[in-house]
Amino acid sequence: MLEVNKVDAFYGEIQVLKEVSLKVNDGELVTLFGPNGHGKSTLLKVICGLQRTSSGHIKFNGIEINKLPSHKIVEMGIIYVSEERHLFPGLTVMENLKMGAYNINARRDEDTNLNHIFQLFPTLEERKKQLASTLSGGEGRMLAIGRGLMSNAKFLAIDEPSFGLAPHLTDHVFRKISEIKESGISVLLVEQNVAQASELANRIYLMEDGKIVFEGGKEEVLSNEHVKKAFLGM
Amino acid sequence: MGPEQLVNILIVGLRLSVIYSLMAIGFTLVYGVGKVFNYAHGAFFMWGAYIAWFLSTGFFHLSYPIAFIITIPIMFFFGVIFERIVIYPLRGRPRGVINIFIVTLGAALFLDNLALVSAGPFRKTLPPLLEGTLNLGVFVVSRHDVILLIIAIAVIIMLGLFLGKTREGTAMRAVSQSMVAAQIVGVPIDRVFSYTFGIAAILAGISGMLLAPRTLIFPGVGWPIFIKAFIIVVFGGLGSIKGSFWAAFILGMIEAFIAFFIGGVWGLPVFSIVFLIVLVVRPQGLFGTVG
Repeated sequence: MLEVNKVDAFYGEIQVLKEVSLKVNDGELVTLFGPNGHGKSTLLKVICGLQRTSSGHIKFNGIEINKLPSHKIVEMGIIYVSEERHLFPGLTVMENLKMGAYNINARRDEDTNLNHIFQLFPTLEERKKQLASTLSGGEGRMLAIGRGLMSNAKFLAIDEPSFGLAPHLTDHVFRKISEIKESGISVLLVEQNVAQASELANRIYLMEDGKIVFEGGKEEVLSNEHVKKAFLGM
Repeated sequence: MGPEQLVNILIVGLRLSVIYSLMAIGFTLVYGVGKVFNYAHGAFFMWGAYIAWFLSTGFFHLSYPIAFIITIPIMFFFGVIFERIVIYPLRGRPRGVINIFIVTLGAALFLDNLALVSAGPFRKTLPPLLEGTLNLGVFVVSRHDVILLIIAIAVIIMLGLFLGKTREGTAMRAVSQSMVAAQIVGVPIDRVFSYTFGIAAILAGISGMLLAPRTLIFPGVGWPIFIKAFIIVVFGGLGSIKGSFWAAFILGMIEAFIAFFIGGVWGLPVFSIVFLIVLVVRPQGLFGTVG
């Protein structure tokens, strides 16, 4: 489904991604682990067109997307759920969700998706008339994920969904992500919470200093002593 | 001061208020959505009046109400093309904000001189939308003022509905709150920037056309009202549409009373004093937020 092939990307002079290759198959949940500031978020942004590649290719269902503007990429069903949430603080919860269905492919399914999201996150329905700026951290994270789902996503790139959340909310968010995966949406998940994220994962990548340094199934990763010590802190 | 005089002052104040509202809302919309300080906003005002003049008395001899209506879509494309040529090439480049600031000043001077070259230095006038007066008992109101108030208020209400209720209007508010988030949900932000300028140009153009039968039109006529609109926007809080609306109302009324009691030339000085007081007492404006 998604194929990242030898992608380089820069922040100014600094090379953040170095020949990164990665694959997410249909219906798969793939997690990407690695230390902070080593390019994981950049990879997600590059996939979603928020940042440009300097070389390499990204293909989605065989179509090259790394030169497309971000709104075209969203129309194809590739959606970024940011760690910083990136909500619209002055819009209501409802307006935020409806903005999630802005792209033309999502508009006709707006009502169905909205119902689905309110089932998934009942708090959002209770708070639909509130401004997004009044939500708590956990509610905001749910709104960000919900807004992502409004877009008729085929592929979600989720950046550290548990960041800054209390443990019981983290459990909740991970349960929701697993439900999202069960509904057939492919997910590329960046997480610090290794234990819970590897539970969900079909496959795991490790990234260090802008390079993919390990790739494998979760048993392979968790049985590798070096990987466990160096990357996962276990 | 008798009741007729008071009503007169209030009508003048209302007229100024709604025109300033239209001008200030357009300016603050462009600032809020595109983070652009548009020096050429007064030139949009002037060109709205000039285009209507070219279409009616100046060249095409259309009746003025028809010229008025045709000028509205022309102003939209005027704003869109202005954004494409002047703003778009600089957006997102290093020092983009300050470069755009300076380039819009240059563009404003260019547009002034374009008016000078194409229409000449002499002052032009536009006929009122409706001739004659309306007699309401002891009060006499010009029909043009009545239609001016109706049109301006209708435009403000329509803009409010567009921003509040429609998908594209919500997208505009969304871009103004977070450009990155707007990109994440797939809003084509370049298109939103262009039509924000189109809408601002319509608002300024309508102000120009509505005010032209009262004030004359000539190259540079947009500057005083641009400066007033800017002061109103700062008073209301940069980027706040609600703030601009109320600030325009307050300052328009103040100006009407000043003009009556002290003299018309005191409008701009009083605005400047208000501007200084606002900067000292409440720099974020009526509805602005700090930072």
